[in-house]
Amino acid sequence: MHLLLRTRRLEVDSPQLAADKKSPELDLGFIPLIGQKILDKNISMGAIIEHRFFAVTDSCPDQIILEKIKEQIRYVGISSSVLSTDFGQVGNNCPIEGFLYFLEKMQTLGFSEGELHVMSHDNPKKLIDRKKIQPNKQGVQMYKVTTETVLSVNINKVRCITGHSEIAKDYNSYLSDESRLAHKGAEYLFFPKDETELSSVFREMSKRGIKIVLSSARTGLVGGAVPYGGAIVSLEKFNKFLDLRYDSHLKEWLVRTQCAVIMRDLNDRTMKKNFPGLTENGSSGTKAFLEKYRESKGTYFYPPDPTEMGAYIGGTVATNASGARTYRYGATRNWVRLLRVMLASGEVLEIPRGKYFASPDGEFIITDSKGNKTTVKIPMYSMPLTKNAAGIFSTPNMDLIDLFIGSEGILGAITEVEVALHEWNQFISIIQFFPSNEKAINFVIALRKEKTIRPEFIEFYSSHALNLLREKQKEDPKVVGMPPIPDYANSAIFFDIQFDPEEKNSDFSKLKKVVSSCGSNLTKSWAAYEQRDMQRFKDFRHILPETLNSIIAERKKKIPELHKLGTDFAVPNEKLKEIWEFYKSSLEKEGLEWLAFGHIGNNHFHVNVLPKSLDEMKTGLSIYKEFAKKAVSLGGTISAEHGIGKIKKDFFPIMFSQETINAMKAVKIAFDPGLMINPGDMFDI
Amino acid sequence: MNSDRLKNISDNQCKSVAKKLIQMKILICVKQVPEITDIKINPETGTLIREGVDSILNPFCEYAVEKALELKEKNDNAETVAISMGPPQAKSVLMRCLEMGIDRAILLADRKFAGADTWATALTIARAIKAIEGNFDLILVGKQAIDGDTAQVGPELSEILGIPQIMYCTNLDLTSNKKKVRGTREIETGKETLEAKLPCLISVSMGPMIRRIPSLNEILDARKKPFKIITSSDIDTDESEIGLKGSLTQVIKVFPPQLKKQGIIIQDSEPADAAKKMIEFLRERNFV
Amino acid sequence: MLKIDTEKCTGCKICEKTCPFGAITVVDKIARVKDNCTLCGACVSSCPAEAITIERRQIPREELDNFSGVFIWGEFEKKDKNLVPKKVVKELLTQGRKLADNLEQELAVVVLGDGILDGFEELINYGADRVIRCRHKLLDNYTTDSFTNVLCTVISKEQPSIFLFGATPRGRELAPRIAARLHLGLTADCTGLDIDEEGQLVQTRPAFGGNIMASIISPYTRPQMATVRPNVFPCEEYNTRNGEIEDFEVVLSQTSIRTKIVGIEQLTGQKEIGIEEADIIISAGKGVEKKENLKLIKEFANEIGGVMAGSRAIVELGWIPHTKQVGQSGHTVGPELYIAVGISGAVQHIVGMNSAKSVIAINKDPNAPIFKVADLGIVGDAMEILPALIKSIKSSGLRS
Repeated sequence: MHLLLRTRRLEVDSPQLAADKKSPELDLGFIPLIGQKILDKNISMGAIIEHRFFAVTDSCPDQIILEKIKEQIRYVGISSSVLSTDFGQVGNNCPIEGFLYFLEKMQTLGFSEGELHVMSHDNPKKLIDRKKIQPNKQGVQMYKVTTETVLSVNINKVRCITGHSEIAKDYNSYLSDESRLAHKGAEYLFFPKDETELSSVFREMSKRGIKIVLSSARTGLVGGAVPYGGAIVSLEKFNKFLDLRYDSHLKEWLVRTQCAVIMRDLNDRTMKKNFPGLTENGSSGTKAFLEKYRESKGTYFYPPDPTEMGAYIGGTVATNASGARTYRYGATRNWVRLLRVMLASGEVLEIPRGKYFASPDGEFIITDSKGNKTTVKIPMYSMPLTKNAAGIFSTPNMDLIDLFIGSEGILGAITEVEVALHEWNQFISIIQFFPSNEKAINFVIALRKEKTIRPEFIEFYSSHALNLLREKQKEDPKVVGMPPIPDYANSAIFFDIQFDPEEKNSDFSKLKKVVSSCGSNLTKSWAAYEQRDMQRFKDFRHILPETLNSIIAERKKKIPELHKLGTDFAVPNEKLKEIWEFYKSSLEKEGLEWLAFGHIGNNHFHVNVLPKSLDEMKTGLSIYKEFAKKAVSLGGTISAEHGIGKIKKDFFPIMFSQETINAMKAVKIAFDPGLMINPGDMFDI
Repeated sequence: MNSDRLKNISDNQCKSVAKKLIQMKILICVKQVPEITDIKINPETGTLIREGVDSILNPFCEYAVEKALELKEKNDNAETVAISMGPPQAKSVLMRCLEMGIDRAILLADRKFAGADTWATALTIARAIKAIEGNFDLILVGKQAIDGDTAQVGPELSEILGIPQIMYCTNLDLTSNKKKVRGTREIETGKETLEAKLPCLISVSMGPMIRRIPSLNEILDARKKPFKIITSSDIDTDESEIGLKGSLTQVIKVFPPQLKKQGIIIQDSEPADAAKKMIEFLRERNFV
Repeated sequence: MLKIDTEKCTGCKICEKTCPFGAITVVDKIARVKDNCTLCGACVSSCPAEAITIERRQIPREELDNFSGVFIWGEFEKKDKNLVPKKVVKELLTQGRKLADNLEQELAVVVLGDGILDGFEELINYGADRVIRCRHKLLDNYTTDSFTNVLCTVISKEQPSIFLFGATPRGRELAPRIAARLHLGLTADCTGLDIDEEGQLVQTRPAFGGNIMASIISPYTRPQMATVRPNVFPCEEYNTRNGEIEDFEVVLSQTSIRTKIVGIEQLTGQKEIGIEEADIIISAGKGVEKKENLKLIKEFANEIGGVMAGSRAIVELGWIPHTKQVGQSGHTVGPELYIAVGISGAVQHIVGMNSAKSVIAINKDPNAPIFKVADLGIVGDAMEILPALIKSIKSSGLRS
């Protein structure tokens, strides 16, 4: 729940704060921070402070010093602040100009673009979108949750492959994931087909003290699904579509599925408006919604678009997956409206967004079917302002659902998900070629500045990346599926913008200008707006990580300890050039084979080193540590997308203090006291 | 003519006029079709479910456009014209042709053309070509449309226009004197190369192809290229000759196909076990 | 009605040479038509000045009954010294026999070629009442122009009510040419041919890639023309039948033939059976994943005495030639055994193999539509199953 405390007046929305009416005037503008305790309490309950930039007029001649505003914002915190001005009086700037002026001033005071964005966009949006947060009619008990019990079934009924050698022989693919991290085998491989069977597996393994690794599509890049002995539980049979409905409150179409629905299939069905399972087996309510969905004029899609669309939706939720479109739509977290999670106990939590919130003390109390209570304390720390997939989510008064999103499965197995869809518009995909990496980066910066062009995403191909693709084209052009990459292309930027193919006179003059200012022109591009061609562009982007993986796999044959070295760092917008120069110079100094590609829109592109020897791999890893430190020092994150898993554990302490790490471990212990699920992922206990 | 004026006509002007006179003209007839792989049948009504099915340029027609562009390049920038008969939405496939590099496009769109079978279609297109384009050197068409699969419009069109045909070509080239065309075509046991004098109609069968991707510029420019919509009043036809009225075949029924009945399915089996089951099956039916 | 545009006519006399009935002559530098013109149209396309047109009225019902006879184009191949009718011709004769009996009309097959044109008596055993032989030097090799001219002449003289062609590459380009010249309704790739209560030929064919079936009639024009895919109808041979062999006079001029063959490339070895004739077919699809994996398929095909084929997807990837393509835009096959490996079973493919007697399918995807038509379906990785299978066959000494 969010309240707005104006600097001049106290707006009372809840009965609780009405009681606080003894000090109705909390004037923070001019008077030093009295009522600090009250302020602190309100903030911890989720109050938002509005920092207003006053227009000085004849009737209101007092000045407000910007430094003061900065002090107050820093005190209160970015996540609890919104900015405003009161411009618009006769003789003064119009409101928009005034606001821009305010923002510029704030930048000179040292606030980053990301921070300003949160205070002028994200937080106000939360306040306005009140409908997204249902006021809980029960009042204050929002932090108390009960788990559902699930019927159990005899463990022998669950399909299981037993024995290290059996599994290694016929089910080898279950022992590794996309990270190609070396496994340590597994004793059991289970294929539960519903929650009942899953629950019995959890209970049985818990009884026997056997560790479990949760296995979905195994497309993860950090070894999360790689077993080090114990049991593998494959969730692949949880692949049904369950429901489609329109929430008139949220004004969104929602799809509910089991966790093993493939991302590609989800979008295929939502965009083609075709849900055969639901058509046959859905309830009459569902069928009615299906009808309405099909008849609706617009098309809808699920915005999170991790490059690997073969992932299961459960996996993307567990890792808070991001993709290219995160630039415009945010990460998976923004789109999840409900989860069903099975805890280590075998019991299930059903968590709709907006129902359970942490208590003022930052706690949740989970009660199981036998009446046992567990207290979970959320770790309190400041999360980075960039796209982030590292660690356990935390904000004061947070929603319980956010604890599980991005927790990499260490808190429990996600069995069902309900996500929101967004309207689909007609776009055109453009791959614009540039003569150098630097010119391409200039283009990204200029494109972001040009407010009339709103790309869906902005993706980068460095010159080394293009060369790798050129080689692949020579081997077999059909695998790459695109015409030969032109010789003049040394770097490329891939982006989508809105486009109407019927329009005879589409105005691309702004884009033309920006492109030519960066040393290229519109003839040096590829463009497509037909669905199947846009898919080719996506495949062209996806083939890079695939190719890297196969190169590593080849080299691994001679040097088995070799594995892929990729970065997953992100920094704030204004640090893009700086981090690029740092990456480039560090790698060139060591003479390593490397390339870069990815979500440059979020300043999050992957820098991959292709080590040819163990020495090179060691050098690469130490360079990456430097990268991690640099990214964090610039206000960024060590894992924007891939998560920590087993591979990135070393970077964890670079980003989080020991205190925070301990707090996160405490959450894990609370949910999984036997430390049974996904041991060794995120941190070691 | 005034000899002074004659003097002023430059060599270049003569050349460019001459060029225009001898410039080759290639027509390509294309069709918009639904993306067949996505089509499903409504099991209750037996009719096609066409929602969520994209409309695309027929793949064989697209290959014909590629071949036309190849010829254009090899033959002094020959003039290329794409023609399609279809509803107004078919404009999008002509746009694709223009984006790929075709010079002009013509859409034959009129309610009266609707319901045409292959004969009425061929007749309409032939009349349109006569009325609008007049002379031409070559007509390229795709081997068949993936929705009708008849492969009839091409031969019927060339018969009405009175020109020879070479069908199912994977390769084509003009002879050095540009007066004849050679097409290598598929037959059951292999390929044969035929030669014919221009004007001629060639139907094109697909080879391995990576579909072309235009630049953003080409996409924007395509929208400025000459594009005409032709109706029945623009061409010399009688209502009785076109559309449904002009069709010589009539569909009297449409129904879902009767496919074989499903047998047994084996899942979750080890490869060795699956192989065993196959051997049993083959033995039962005397294949081994 | 044959119309001659006297303005355009140059008196070149080409039409005189082309007309099989001598029904057009040039007098005083202008062509004139005589009463015995049958409107076969041979002169129309041969006239370089485009001075000749035919105005056809659509035939009213009473006149439709003037047309009688089920005719079939007897396409054949030259194999060594022998003239071998294509299998589809025999299938058409079997089905044609049924139609002819129903209509109480005769069944005839028309063969075109040069030389003796011997060896077609066996077509009588497949149901033909008459074998009509058209012999001419210029018919030695197939050309669309010569065959169109001759068959139009035959149709104009004989006036059959039905004319059927095999939907072979040649049949599919010849039939529409004839249909356009004579203004006839033509239906391609029929999988069903029947007679309705009014004596009309009901032609059934797949459309939309095979997703639906359409039944079609040609109510106003005769003959009703159709092309039929090979391996769709069965063929039956009688022990003995009576029938005649007749020669039909052919008039052809070289100038009417506008194409010439300048090269030939054989892809199917002389010894190799085409997939349309094979009894056992192992067919590969995109699920095979790599071109190299086809080696395994070929090995298995050899073990079991079958022939390798494939779906449109792998033909487009260039892994196999088009001669081996099964499906709506490829060949129709009707083997005893069809094994589909890594083929999803889109309708366009199934249309091409639906006539197979036994079908085995191997695919990783349990929801692949191919399983709906398979007698035995195996969900799994063919690359793992086939080696096991080959081993079993080799070791137990089983062979077909």
